[in-house]
Amino acid sequence: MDKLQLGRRGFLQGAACLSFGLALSPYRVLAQDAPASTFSPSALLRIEPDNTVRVVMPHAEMGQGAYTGIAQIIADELDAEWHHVVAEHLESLDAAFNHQDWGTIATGASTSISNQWNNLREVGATARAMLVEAAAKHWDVPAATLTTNRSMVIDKANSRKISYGKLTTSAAQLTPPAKVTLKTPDQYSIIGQNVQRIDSVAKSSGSATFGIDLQLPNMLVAAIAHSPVFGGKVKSFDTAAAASMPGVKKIVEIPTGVAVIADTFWQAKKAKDALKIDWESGAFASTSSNDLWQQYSDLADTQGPVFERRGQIDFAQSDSQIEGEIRFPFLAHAPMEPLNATVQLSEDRCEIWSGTQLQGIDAVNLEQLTGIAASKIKINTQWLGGSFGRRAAPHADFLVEAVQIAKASKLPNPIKMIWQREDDIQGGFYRPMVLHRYKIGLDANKLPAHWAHQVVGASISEGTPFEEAFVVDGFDTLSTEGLRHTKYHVDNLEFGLHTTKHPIEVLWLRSEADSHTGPAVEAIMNRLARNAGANPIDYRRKLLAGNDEAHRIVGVLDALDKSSNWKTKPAENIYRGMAVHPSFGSVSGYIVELKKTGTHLSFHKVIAAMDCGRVVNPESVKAQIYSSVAFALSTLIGQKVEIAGGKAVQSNFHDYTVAKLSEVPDVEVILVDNGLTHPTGVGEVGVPPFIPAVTEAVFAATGQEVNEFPMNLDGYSFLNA
Amino acid sequence: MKKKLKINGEIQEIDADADTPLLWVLRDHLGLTGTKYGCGVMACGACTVMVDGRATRTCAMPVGAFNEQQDITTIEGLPGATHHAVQKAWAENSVAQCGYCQSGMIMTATAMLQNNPAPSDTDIDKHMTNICRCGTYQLVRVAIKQAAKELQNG
Repeated sequence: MDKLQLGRRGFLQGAACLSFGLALSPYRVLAQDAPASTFSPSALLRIEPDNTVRVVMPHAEMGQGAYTGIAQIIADELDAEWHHVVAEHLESLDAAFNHQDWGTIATGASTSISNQWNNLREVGATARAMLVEAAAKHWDVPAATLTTNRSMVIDKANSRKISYGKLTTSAAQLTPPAKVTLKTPDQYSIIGQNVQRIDSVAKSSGSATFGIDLQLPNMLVAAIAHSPVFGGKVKSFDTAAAASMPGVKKIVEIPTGVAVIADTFWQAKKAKDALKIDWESGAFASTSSNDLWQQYSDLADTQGPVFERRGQIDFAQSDSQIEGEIRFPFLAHAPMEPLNATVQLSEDRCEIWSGTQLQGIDAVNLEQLTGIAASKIKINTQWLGGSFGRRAAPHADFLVEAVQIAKASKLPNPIKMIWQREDDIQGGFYRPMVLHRYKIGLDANKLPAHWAHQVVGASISEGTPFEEAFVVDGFDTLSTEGLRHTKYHVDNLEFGLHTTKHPIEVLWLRSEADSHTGPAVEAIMNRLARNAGANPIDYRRKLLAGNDEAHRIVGVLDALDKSSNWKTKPAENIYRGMAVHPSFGSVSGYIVELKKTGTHLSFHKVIAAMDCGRVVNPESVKAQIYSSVAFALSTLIGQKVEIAGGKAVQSNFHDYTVAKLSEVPDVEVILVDNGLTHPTGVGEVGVPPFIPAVTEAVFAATGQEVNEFPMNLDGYSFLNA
Repeated sequence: MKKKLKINGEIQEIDADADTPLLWVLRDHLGLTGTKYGCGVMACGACTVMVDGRATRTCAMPVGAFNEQQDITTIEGLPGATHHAVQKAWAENSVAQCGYCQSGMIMTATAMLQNNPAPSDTDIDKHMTNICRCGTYQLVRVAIKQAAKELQNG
């Protein structure tokens, strides 16, 4: 698993260099300005005379807790007073803020803590060493006699201490040491602690300003009419009614539609609704979801190009076979803050304010669009009101739109483009719809010996700057990860991939390919265990036995096993399911118990187990599990984007629903220590296995196999539905 | 249309079309951006404010329907012990993840606690229908209970 992650990172780094030359990047614009009296041994860190420890964040905060974890790691090695640590949004494209494995500024793949782990500790430890040296000079004592604690250098022998704030000017004169000694785990005092989130107060008072909240002098607001049919273009449009409406400043055509620029959002939106646009819809206008599923199903009847093979499939050699198909729909990310970006454009300068995950790649896209050198492009990162991958846009689609509007308008004003919720739910960039078709041949012990599997779906990476990173031997790993290199031992297997094409843009959504491969593989394992009449934990252990790379999965299975009365029969009307899945360098698993009351199902108990290596903030990891459960539950009960007449059917939260407080179970979380000393992924790891754990409990309760999402249960209700 | 509204205890004069939702008057005309736009169809609750103490979704409520006798309270102007307890419980439990929906959550929770200082789980389920895409619900419940406890203990 770890090897696989490394492979992926390596590829991405390679691609970043090849596509953009980012490793030798020209984006060495000045670091964010720091006053002379501050001590800033790294672009990421500033210690100020009033003892403030300012951490400039190399990763975006979209809810996952990155800012807090990053600050904890630096602060621990620095021996900083935690209450003096503040986070600052990134406004620079300096290479110092690069993802340590990707060679560009980016947030994604649950790597914010893991990729920066060593870098952040070195930044903190270097600063600490320099502050100690400054104090040693100040007192004229050997540095080795001094210690540090809570932003103080302490001279115990002489009973005196001095604050970091008083040392900033002198420390800034010193040369950083060539090598620093990092703490050993027993010395951690902030890493591993449940400190309150660094953004908790701002986000509990309404004072945290997101991109959409930005207000600048003379700012205008833009709303856009997008083509209702995917891939459609503007044929002609009539602005007669809209142009004379109050507040309207300009109406401009851009490649993706028509934008109205006005004084306020409501004025822009109303005028946009008054536009009469004739769309060139193209051939897709007659396509429906049924058409697409039919096409996918037909493809699955044939052998797709094989991306993984072991042994030689021969179902004639098996005792019995199990076949099935699972369908995963298009999903919209639906972050709570609708997409937006503010642009101020002049002939030779482009300044952006937006919550984005890919500043380094955005800058390249914007340079290509505007012809303005990247050194004259400034991206001011904002708080992200959710993302789930949507704000990691390989072609920077929403920033590009905002810049296209500003460019077409020729207005000098800053322009804030705001998407409506409908633009988001109906605008594509979905998690692809994917069909999984499988056939398993079982041996005499009802263990899988032959496994044929077809995956059908569109490629996320193809045609994007990430193609070279993720397309391996012609196969997009963003279609196959999680199935590819399965740790379950099956002597003979053959996995094929049919890559489809349609005008609907697809994009990674939280858990990427694992969002469907994880549920598919685990649903299969549950079915096989059930068929064998076996305990599903023991059945999985058998298939993982002897595989060194699977020991963390087994560790999570063991934790789940110990935590529950798994071996005893559940109480009357209680039905169980479980699943486990490795992803993003980590492993998570669940036991789900449902309660059946007549024909109604509800949650009785949910236990989660997670191995994410070294835990920087346990409550933060638990919060991501709660989050994953709610996210996965929404796909089980309320989310799909269907297509009719080439358009998205669903449009807003009334028909693309999110699980509510009354529906989400309380989750008991076990953090599993399998001996890793560094952190691995967290944010996306908890989503995939929750889905098959629930569907297996549903099967136990109803006898119904769930093969499509959201679940459609015959004769049963679930939660509020 | 010129109009007077009482917002956070102060009379404000605004100039907006009568059909402008109160949300956009707060955000674009008065700069009170703590109240959020999430859906525009009153389905998610990110736009919740208090009108005469009641949690009210504002993204599709035309400003023309309000008058200056009504007390409109936004997250920026929340007064009193209830809100203090709610905000403290929210911060201490690190309830917010991305935080975008939390103004609406906090307004809804505060309005509920002002009317019902000891809500049961069922009461919480019934009142807290705001959508949180990060799924912080488990901690929302914990924070509401902590705030209720603090209010009861005075």
